[in-house]
Amino acid sequence: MLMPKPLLWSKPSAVMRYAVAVISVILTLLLARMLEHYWQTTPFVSLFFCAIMFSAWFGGLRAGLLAIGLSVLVFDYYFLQPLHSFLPNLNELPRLILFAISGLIVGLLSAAQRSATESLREARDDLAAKVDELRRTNDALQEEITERNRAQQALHKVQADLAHMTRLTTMGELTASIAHEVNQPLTAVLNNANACLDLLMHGAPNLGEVREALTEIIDDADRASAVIMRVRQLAKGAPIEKSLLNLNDIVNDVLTLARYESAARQVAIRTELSEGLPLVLADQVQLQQVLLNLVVNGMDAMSAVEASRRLLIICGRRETRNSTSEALISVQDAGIGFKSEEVDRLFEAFYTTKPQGIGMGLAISRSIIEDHGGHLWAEQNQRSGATFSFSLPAAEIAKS
Amino acid sequence: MTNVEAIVFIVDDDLSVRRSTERLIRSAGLNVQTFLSAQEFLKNPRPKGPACLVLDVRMPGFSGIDLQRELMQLGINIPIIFITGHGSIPMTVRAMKAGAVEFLTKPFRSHALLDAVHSALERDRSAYKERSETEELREHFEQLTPRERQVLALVAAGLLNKQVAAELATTERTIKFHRAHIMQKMGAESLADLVRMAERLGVSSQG
Repeated sequence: MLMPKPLLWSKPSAVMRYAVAVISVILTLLLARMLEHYWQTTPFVSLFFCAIMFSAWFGGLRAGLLAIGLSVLVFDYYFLQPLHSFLPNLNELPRLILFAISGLIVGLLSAAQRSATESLREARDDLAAKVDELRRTNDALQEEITERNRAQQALHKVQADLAHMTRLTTMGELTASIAHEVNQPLTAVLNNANACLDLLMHGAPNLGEVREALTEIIDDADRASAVIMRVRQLAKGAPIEKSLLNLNDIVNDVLTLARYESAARQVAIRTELSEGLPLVLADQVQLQQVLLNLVVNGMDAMSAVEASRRLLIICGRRETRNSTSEALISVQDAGIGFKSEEVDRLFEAFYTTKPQGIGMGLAISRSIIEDHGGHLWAEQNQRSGATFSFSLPAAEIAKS
Repeated sequence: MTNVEAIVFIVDDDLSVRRSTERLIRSAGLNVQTFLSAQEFLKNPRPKGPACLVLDVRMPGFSGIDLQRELMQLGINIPIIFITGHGSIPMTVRAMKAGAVEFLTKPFRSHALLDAVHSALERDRSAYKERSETEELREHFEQLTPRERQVLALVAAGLLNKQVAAELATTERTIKFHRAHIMQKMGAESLADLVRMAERLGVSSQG
């Protein structure tokens, strides 16, 4: 953007300035002589003041002083008695002095005004440059912010994809368990349906028994479809949706999926859930993922341990930290545990101690819990194995 | 003796599978008794008649395979039909080698289970017949005097009456007398019959 200039010439050269002073005095002299010759009028003083003002305004203090000097000489030589002499009459002397003083005042004022205007203009130019610079910086910053937002969005997307992938990997370890949870009710449905056919073939069928079998068929179909729904929820990459959740339900959901796997691996699972566990505001699928991951890790950690000692304890209780209420879930195994120097690396991406692991489970779990404003940490047990715990802030429930 | 009612035992920790399997087998006209764990099955007294066991492989704690091993060690020879969520081949092979009748994967066809149950019961019926005959023989054998048992052992070993008498330092007449008694007590119709009974009881001259 162009700034309006307060002066016609931003900074005339020194020669130019002095030349303008000389030329304006000469022009004034010619004009005064013409006026005197044709109209017999003598407005010399004001004309010379104009020349001085113009010179001082255009060329600054020094050019002004030169114009004053020249004007005094020209005034003395051409317009004071005796004419055409630099020595004025004594009675004309006060006029000459007055002219010189007035010229000096006019010149000085004009020069001062010019210099004030000039510094004002400089300040203004400076300001304009600064504003320009600021605007450029701002534009660059704005661009950076946009870029950063884009990167952030891409990061979130990658994180979500990774969480989804890790979830699928964890679920992959439980396929047998999940199939079992569907096959159990399916087996019962087939058995009951065939039993019904047999019962109805008799002359006088026991309708009470048939009714009971049909009721069980419905219950088992419901049970199978509930498992399928749970699995589908976990498997699909749905966007995050926070709702009020009871962590006891999350524990039970996860154990339904892992129950058969734990039996197959001869791991006993005990739950110690407190009824006073506060509700949390969280994404159900993500919390299931975290807990599923901790449970599978715990079972993996105990695979090398004698079967009778494979015990996984899941505790849920209310905790108070810094006078705020939290829900705390811990998963304690009796496995091989970890070395104390490993504790920080456990949560690093791609860090794994499992031969078939990809080392994303705990890293993703921690980022999920931290996204929910909570903490996830690991501790060595006193006797054997490790305990992984996470806490989430209790949801604020509006009391009516 | 052979018309004693057969019974099917079901051991499964899942309530709906247990109940529905029970209903299926009961609706086929068989007696059923259910248990929710291997330990419970071992604790309860079992009726003597022909029986078979429908057993879930994977149960928390004491698995179906563990129970099969335990029963073998206890000398309880009951035909087992395994049912499993997903059977690995090694597991199936191990179970079949240990004498399982059938290995069914859930969800199984009801007819497959009923067929397996019938053939298992058939197998156990003849085993039961043999078991009860041996038992009857043993009861008869218990009625013999120690002297008669000695005589039976020697006769079964193929000795003539004269040789038996010499062996036991007595007369041939006495031996003939003992033999008649033994034949009567054991319910044998001929000498060959008696020898076969002795073999079945594992009676030998050393014993």
